[in-house]
Amino acid sequence: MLRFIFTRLSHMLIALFVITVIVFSLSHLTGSPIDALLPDDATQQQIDSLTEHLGLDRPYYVQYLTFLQNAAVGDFGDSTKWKGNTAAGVVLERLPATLKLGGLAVLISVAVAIPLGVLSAIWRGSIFDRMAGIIALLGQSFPAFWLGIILMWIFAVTLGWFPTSGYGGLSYMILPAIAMAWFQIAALTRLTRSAMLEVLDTEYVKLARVKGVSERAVIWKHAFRNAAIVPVTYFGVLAGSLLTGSVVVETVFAWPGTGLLAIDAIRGRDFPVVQSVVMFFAVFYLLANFLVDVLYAVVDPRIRFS
Amino acid sequence: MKKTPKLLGRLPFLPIAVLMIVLVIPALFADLIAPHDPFKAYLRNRLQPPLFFGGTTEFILGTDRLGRDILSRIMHGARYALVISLVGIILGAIVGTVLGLIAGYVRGVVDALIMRVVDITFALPSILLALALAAVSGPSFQLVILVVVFVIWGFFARQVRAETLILRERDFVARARVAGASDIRILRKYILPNIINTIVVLATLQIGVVIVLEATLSFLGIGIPRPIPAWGLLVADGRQLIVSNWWISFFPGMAILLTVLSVNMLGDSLRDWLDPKLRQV
Amino acid sequence: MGASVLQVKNLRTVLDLSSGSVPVVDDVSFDVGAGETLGIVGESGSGKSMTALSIMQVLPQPIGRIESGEILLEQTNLVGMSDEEIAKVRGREIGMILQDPHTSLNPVFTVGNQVIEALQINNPGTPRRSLMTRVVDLLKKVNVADAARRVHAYPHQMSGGMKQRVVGAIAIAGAPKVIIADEPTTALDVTIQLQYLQLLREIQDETGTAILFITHDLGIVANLCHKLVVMYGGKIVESGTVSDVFRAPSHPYTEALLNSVPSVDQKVDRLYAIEGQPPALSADRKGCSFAPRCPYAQEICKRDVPQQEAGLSGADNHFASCWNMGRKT
Repeated sequence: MLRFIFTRLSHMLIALFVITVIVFSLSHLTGSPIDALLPDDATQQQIDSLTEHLGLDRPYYVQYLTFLQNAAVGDFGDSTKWKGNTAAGVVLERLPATLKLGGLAVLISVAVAIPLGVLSAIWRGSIFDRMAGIIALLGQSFPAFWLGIILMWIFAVTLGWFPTSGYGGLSYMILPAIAMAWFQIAALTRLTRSAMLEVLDTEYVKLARVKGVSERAVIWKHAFRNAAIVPVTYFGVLAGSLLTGSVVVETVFAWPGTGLLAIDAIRGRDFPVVQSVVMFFAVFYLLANFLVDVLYAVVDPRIRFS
Repeated sequence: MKKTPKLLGRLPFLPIAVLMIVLVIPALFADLIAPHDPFKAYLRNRLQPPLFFGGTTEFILGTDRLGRDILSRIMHGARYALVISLVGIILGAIVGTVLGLIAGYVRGVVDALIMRVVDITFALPSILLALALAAVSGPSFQLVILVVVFVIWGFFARQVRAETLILRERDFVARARVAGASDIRILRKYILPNIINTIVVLATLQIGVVIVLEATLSFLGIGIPRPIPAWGLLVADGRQLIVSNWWISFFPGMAILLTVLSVNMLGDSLRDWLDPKLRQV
Repeated sequence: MGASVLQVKNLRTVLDLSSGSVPVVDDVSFDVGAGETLGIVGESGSGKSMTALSIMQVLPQPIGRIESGEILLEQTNLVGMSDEEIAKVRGREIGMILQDPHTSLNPVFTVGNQVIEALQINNPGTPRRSLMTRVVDLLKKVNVADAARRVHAYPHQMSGGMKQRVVGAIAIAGAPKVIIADEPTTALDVTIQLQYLQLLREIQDETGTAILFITHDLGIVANLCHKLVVMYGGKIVESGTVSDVFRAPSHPYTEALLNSVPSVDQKVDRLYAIEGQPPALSADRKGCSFAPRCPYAQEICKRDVPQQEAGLSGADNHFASCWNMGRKT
């Protein structure tokens, strides 16, 4: 188990290394960050002093190491748009809103998709199964941003059940969370269904039946416990999609989280903030995937003990 | 090959019809069939509702804030959806296939290296990359294509590698090798033809993903630059007006939905027909 | 040998495939008494496993169903029982051992857990703790070495033979009147096979349970069983006591099977040197299903289904279904 964690941890560090290289290169190779930081009519003296201040006159690898050093302690410089704040500080301030919304979206997707997937596997070929299949197809075809707008139009504008947009309690969160969960429900339903079908066909499920286990326990204890391994591995992907989703859905619903922050920062050409959002997201994503790997091992003893 | 008449029978009619009407015909003939100039602002006809909702036959799907005809804009936008998805997928498929072939054929360190890079590209959420790129260079076609290629090449590389690993051990490859065929020739003449079905199916399955990705980037203002009437941008135009003028966002979004839905259905049946093993992908 | 514990009468099981309803068990009848072992012999696809699944009513869903016939467990007909009723029969009245120990234990639960579950079903309300000692006893009974420690092991940490012993422990946990063993030794090494058969015999001696032993190996049947039925294409082609059938095989298929059994002092290159393939599943069949592979086949064999007749041994419980019985040269 320890070796397993160690391998996964090293994979994560390699990925993190590559990501820092990409982020670093983006800020330097695609054009000098000076252009982004200073107004167009900056004097040569201003440019020179900033270049020296940022260490841009030094070799790339030195600059990279400095960047890495700073990144390690969460220092990505100061925000140029939100003056007087560090870039990381701005991101951290917005993080809770995103996590709240993302958490609700995960909850909704799991609560809908798992039963839907399991039941459509049990009742394979039934009308229920076909309906679930249509839901999954629709889910994978809806662009999240448009779904958000349509939900807003129907449930907030026309029916008036929810506020249209902005930050607030549960009533503000429901529509954006649904828009975010929609695609995940589709993917997770398909995954759960096929995993469940596979497991229901195994000999150990047959043995559970012939030893007299009730049908309910056969499905939820013997079969689902094994099939659950597949959806669990999907949570890593889910974490990534939620970050992507947060950018889109927060923009649609004006939800003041990190996703909206990223868009605002790009419009304001606030590169330190964009950089910190990207790094935060990447670390979050890698961490989520690492946790999924560990969880995977907990669920499946074959991995735990090998 | 006797497959052709079968293919016609097996391909679902409805998705293809929808795809032709919403995407392909407008993309090819927008200049001829669009009722209005997509850029022309009929200021006197601003925010006209669509036909049957108080509008007229002149602007069937209504007009936007500047009085531009939404139907014409959607038709012209189809061109960008089609071109970007085709170019992006073809480039992504080429990059992924070449690297996948190399990884599966050469194996060893090269294989490990390429697969590690695939893992990492999967680990980087696409929107993040687009965000970072857009922050530096601003929205552009090249950026969208780059992001698309970045997102999809790994799927091709992974699948092609897996099949190459199997194919390279087959008798006919061994025979070709004994006969003195070069590695390049073996790859081109013996391995590639056997995985072309897989590549076609994967590409079809990715079209939907790519169209949504392109539309999303454009919607966020980090994809196709204005004033091009890309579908994502058209939806963004109506976002603020959804309270009063729903049709501005509704119809372009519907075009995306119908296109992606049809492509996904088409991809599913193509997969079942050509390459059932991909059902797990 | 006591009265029949399990009696199967004219059982007919079909699979509803897209090509139509295909009988996989066709007019099958046999009975087995307490302390008695009945061997069901046949190649794969002969319907022997489907017979077992029919008795347990765990046919592949949604395509498999019992079309007609009776399965009497001490006078109670299992056919037509509700799901709840049949669930009470499984494990308590009839235990089952599946073919492949590597796949028949649930990988995510410890073996102790899986045996306890079987005990809990048969003793509802008994606390786990007191059941734990019985689990160890059961595992000892099936000769699992170091049972007290092994209860905490996961299936993948055990050998195939050990796992099959655990499956055996699960099968006897409910002290069933009948144990169905579906090729329990096929996946095991030869030495382990013999130990396992010995174990089954010991269990039977101790508990007096009836055993339905499904196999393709006539050598095992000779060793273990009292009676046997030979199945081919979903039908019983021959049945009788082991000694009668081995002495005077009356159906060409039985004869072929017997010829393909390697004897101890004779080295054989290939088992089952019967020409041709077992019949494919199909909805419409004519004549004797063995006819295409039968060296004695005549016109009538391809046209009409042979009826069951007394076998060549002359014993009154020895039957076979063949047009050529006694006429072969």
